[in-house]
Amino acid sequence: MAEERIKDAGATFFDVKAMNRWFLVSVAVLTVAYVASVVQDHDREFKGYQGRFFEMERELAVRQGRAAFDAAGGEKVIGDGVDTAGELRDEIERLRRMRDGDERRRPELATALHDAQFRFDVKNAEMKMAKARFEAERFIYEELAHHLGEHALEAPETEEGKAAYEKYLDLKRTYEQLDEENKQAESERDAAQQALAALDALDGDVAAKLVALERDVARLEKRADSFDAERGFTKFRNSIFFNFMAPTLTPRKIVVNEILDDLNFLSVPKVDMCISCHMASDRFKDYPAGNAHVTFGDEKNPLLNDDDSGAFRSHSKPELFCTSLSPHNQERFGCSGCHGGGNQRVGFAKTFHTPSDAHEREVWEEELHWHPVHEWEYPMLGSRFLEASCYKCHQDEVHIPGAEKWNRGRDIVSKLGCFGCHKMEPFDGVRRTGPPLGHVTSKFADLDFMLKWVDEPASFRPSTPMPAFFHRENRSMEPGRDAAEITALVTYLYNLSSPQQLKSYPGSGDAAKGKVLFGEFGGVGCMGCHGIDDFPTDKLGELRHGPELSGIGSKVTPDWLYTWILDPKSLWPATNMPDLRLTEQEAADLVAYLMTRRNVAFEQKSFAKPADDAPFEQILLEKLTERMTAARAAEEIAAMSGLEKRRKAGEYLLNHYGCFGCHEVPGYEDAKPIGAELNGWGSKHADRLDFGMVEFEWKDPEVAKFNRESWLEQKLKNTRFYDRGKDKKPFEKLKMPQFSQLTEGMSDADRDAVMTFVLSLVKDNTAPSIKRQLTADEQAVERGALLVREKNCIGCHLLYGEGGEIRNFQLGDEGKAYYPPLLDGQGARTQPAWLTSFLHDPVFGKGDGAKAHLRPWMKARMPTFGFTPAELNDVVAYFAHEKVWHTSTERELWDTLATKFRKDFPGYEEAQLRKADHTKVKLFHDLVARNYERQGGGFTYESEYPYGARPQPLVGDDLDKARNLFQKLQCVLCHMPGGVVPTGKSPADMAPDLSLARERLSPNWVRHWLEVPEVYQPGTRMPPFWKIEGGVRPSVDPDINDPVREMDLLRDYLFSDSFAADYQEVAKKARGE
Amino acid sequence: MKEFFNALADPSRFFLIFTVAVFAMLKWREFFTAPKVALTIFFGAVVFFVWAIRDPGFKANITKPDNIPIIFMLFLVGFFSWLSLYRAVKNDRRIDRGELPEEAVENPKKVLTWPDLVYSEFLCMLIGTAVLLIWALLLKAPLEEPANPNKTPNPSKAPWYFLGLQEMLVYFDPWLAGVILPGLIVNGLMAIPYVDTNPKGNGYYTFKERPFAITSFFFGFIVLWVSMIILMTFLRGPNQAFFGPFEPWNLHKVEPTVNIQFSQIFWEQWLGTSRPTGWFLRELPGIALVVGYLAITPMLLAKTVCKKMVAQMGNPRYLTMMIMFLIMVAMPIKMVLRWTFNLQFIVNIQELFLNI
Repeated sequence: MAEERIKDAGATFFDVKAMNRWFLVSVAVLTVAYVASVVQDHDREFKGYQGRFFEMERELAVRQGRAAFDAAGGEKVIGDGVDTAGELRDEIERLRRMRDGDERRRPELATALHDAQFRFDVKNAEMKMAKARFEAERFIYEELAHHLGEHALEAPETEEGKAAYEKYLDLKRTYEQLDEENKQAESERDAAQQALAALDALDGDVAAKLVALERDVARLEKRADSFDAERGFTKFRNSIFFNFMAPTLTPRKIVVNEILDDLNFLSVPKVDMCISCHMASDRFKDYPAGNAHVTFGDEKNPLLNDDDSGAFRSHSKPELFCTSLSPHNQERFGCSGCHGGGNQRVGFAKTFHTPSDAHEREVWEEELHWHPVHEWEYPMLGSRFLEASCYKCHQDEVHIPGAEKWNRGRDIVSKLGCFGCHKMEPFDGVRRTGPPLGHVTSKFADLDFMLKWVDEPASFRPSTPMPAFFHRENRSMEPGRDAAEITALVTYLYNLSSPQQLKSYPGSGDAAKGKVLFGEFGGVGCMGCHGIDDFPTDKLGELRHGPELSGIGSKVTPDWLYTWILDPKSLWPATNMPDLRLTEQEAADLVAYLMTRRNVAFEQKSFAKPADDAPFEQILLEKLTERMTAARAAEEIAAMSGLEKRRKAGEYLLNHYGCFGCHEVPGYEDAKPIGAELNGWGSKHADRLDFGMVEFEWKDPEVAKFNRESWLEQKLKNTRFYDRGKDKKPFEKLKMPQFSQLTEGMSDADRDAVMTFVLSLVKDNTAPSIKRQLTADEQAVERGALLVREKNCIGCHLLYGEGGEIRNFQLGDEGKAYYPPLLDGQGARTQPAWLTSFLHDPVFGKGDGAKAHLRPWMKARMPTFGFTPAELNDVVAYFAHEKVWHTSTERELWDTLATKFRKDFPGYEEAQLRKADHTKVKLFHDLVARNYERQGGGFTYESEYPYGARPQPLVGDDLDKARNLFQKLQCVLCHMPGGVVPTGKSPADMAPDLSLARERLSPNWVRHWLEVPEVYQPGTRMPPFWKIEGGVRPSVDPDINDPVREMDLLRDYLFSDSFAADYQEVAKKARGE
Repeated sequence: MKEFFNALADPSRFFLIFTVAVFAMLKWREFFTAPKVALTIFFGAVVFFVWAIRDPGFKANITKPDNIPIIFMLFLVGFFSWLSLYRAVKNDRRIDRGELPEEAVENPKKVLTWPDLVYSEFLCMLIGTAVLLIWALLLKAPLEEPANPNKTPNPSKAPWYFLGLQEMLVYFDPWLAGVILPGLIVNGLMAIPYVDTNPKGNGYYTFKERPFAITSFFFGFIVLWVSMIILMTFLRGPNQAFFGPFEPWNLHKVEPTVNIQFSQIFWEQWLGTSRPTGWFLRELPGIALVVGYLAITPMLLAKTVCKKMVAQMGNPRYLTMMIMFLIMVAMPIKMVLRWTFNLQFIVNIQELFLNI
């Protein structure tokens, strides 16, 4: 062995040279791989965005600097060159030269001053010496003259005196001469001093300008430099291998501590890196707003061109989001808390941008290399559903200001009663939507009505919220099954129903009078909630607050209707239908009229009940065999009578379809809703949803196609869709009914709104600190807001542009007279105590049987709603605690802030706001109120009762003046006590009875109202006596001749003790009594 | 064509084809290892992939960053299997002719630590690192959503190198498939140097001199490990259901699965009575079967087929080897029973949570 090894020493198994070559190759490959990895790491998407952004920033900085310079009155005209800083430097140079030129004059002036000062000093000393001598000599001369007994000092008689006088005079003249010369020297010195001071002042001016300019230049240069990618140092900082130190192109992040991400094992704060690319998100003043859906080329940043992506746009609602002054500033709220999508990551596709539609998807795929990624269950919400995020924090609000789609969704869900089957938090404890079914036998004129109704609700009333359970696509397999199920259900309900005590309709109604009562000029108020085909509008056939009454005569018995109209709560204690205080005759007229409204087509429709028991037996068999053998089930069924079979089948079906979700059914008061709970549905994982046989794309389900949004949309369009292609037993089939309002082909807006609402119900991952926390007052306001909607105040009244549906029937100029009053600023207008009593009982009983109305000429009546005391408090709180300018105590502050807000955020101009959705109005008020409160502004309701300046009791002269003014202005012509229309006036001219003003109105409001009625109630007929014209507020009474005093006097007069008696007097006179 | 492949991919067929193929390759190794035949098979595989990858589903499945190493591995396993058999065949011929194996001729002497060993290892390290780097650059690590205990991925799969183990879970109770069997695999591998004292084949390739050892290896590794990885990776989809390579992975695919216990077969089908209530009596046939399989089979074999082997190895080595071998073979036996009789457990003592 040893020999062998020695022999072979030097020889190797592998060729060393070849191995060396391999070594070279492998080291080369490894180096290339290493470099490639660094290069790949260096090449990041966001750097392109940041680079372009900085380019624009630099250019913007330059342009802004130039604009600022121009605005500051730069004397030199600046060209279009890019180098503003350079041009500023030229200006500095010019100023310096100017300063230097002045400086050259300084020595000369200084010498002059020096000389003048010298001359003055010399003269001054001489003068002072002469003065001392003269004064000393005067004393000597005076004493001598006295001693000599001279009579006149100017004309001495003695010789001695004469000589002394000569000497004295000589000295006096010398002194006067010198004094004159001294004054001259002094003025010359002052002039020299002023010349120098003028030079100094000029110098200081230039110096200050120079300092400011130099600072500007430094700032601009720094700013421009920091964005300057061409600078060597910047290049170095961003260069590959060295960019680990302090690159300018770097990922940026916002840590959102109060909105968490659920990583299943722990919740972590969101770390939003969106601003790495979306760098202009809060720069709404410089960059145009919007997103990819908005076209480019706005004026704000002329540098932004069509090729630039949406990343450089600012937030489209800067007043609400992103900016530091907005309620949701970027530092605290981040981005993904609302938008969803991936945080802790950068890159277009990787952050789960979600296209809104197929077109956008195509564009993205092509231009931005978008592809579906499914590593995160909460991709960005498409812009269609963005408002779903608001609810995360705004959980206690009925309507979220600004979230128009969500609000609409909530309203629709509330009207359709989705919460009857699907438990959802915002509707916990809300009463069932549909009417009770406990006494149906007393209600319907024709017992077949219910069969036909359940069969196809829309055939009787297209606008009904009652959804269609039958004739759906997944039921087409079993002919006759629908009829059997409906028959069984209705039989069971009739069986459960008990008779109800009804007033009997006297039969004396006059249909013509009833029609007038019902609908002429909106009628007594029925039209605020109900529509009818006799009075068609655009809204006929839409879902309104109350059911449309076309065809009602085919449905109910006259007795039932009579009882219902007179006292709705006696038939259904939970109903929202108010009491209009109709007399029995009026009720009878209305019944007579409504009974003429028949749906003949529906009446003629027949419903084919199953001829034999077989279909019912089939239903029973299906249900019973779930827990027993078929033979045993058949025995049980055989033992039942035909009626029992129907009832029993009906019971099963009622439980199956969950009718009790919307209707009160005796015995099912506490039944659990049958649908899936929707709380947290917005966080439900898409793979927990059954997409049925919808064709799956191969192994990689596209997120955008198979997400919860698309599932929900399809479900609402066709609730039975996912049963397609499946073989199921009847009781296993999907049973969610079809709401005609949401069906495919109906309004996409409504469906989107409902989807937005459902998607907003997410698993809660926000810290309490970031949620909108309501104070006790605000909670009462929200409860009140809900009541205002439930009781449908806005059916008749207009509230910030919302509602006022009854106006659709009050047509023409005459109709306008009957417009129910606006409720804008109602809380500021009236005293809460009065409003409470008014809502409790809108008719003020005067004790003598006569009834006084606030607006007796009105046709529509303010109904008696039967509010509970707690509800009254809430409604009054709702109006009284509004944070709107009506209630602000410092109008000027409010107006200033509102003006500033409008200037900062265009889109809230008065005219636009009037036309906009009411939520935008509310939003505007909320946002201005926020600034107002921050500036220390207060609201009326926060001040002491009676909320505003307490009117002074009027005495003596003032009282007479006020009395005269009241007569001069002829207030009484419109404000007639008792609402009697004077001859020559129409009801349209009438205004409220002022005898109620003292207890009704807020003094503060009255004062403002007199000043600018038009602003408080657009369209009011109250003449603006004191309207400012040409910058001057006119006076109406020459005796007083002070507009402010006039308004104060009038206000105080209304609230004075003597007003009531005077008012009647004046009215009598006016009526010519 | 695609339907045909889908049909072939049914697990029992797939397993059968794979087993037959491996045995055929060993049996007719001279034919299969001929470079022309091997190249034809290789190109055939390439052509199959090129054709199949035009199917979007197949492509999605194959090109998943998770699955690419497995494709590499398939080709590598094929190549090295071929290489070993090719050289074994050559050597066997030389040995038959009375010559020394190639390896002995090629390099009869010892090699140097430097440069032959250390330098070449260093080169391998460099190249390996470069390949890993480039791989990582070209194929990004497939990140997934945050782990959620309430929502596990569907299908839920182990890392690819453990998929064989995971497949065993389909046929055995977790305590066996997850604890005992992996333990035995590791221990068995460790025991090999002590059990297998046969010096033949050391340092050179041969088949004829070690037919049992090499066949066992091919069966245990290629059939029971690699094929299971392929099966688990490419053919098991959502809910662990089987899908052909060209079949869409539909979440809702339902497989008819019924569980039958051996005690049911024994008492209800063979004896026609109801099963005894006590677990011991009820499971006695199963226990007897298992004990019989592990205790009696080695003895029977020792007296019959394996006489020569016992003589060579001695009893302790023989018993150790044979029990390990039988446990390995139990795997395909159980699979076949499962597919043919829906048999879940041979011993099913729920009272003690003991299932075999």
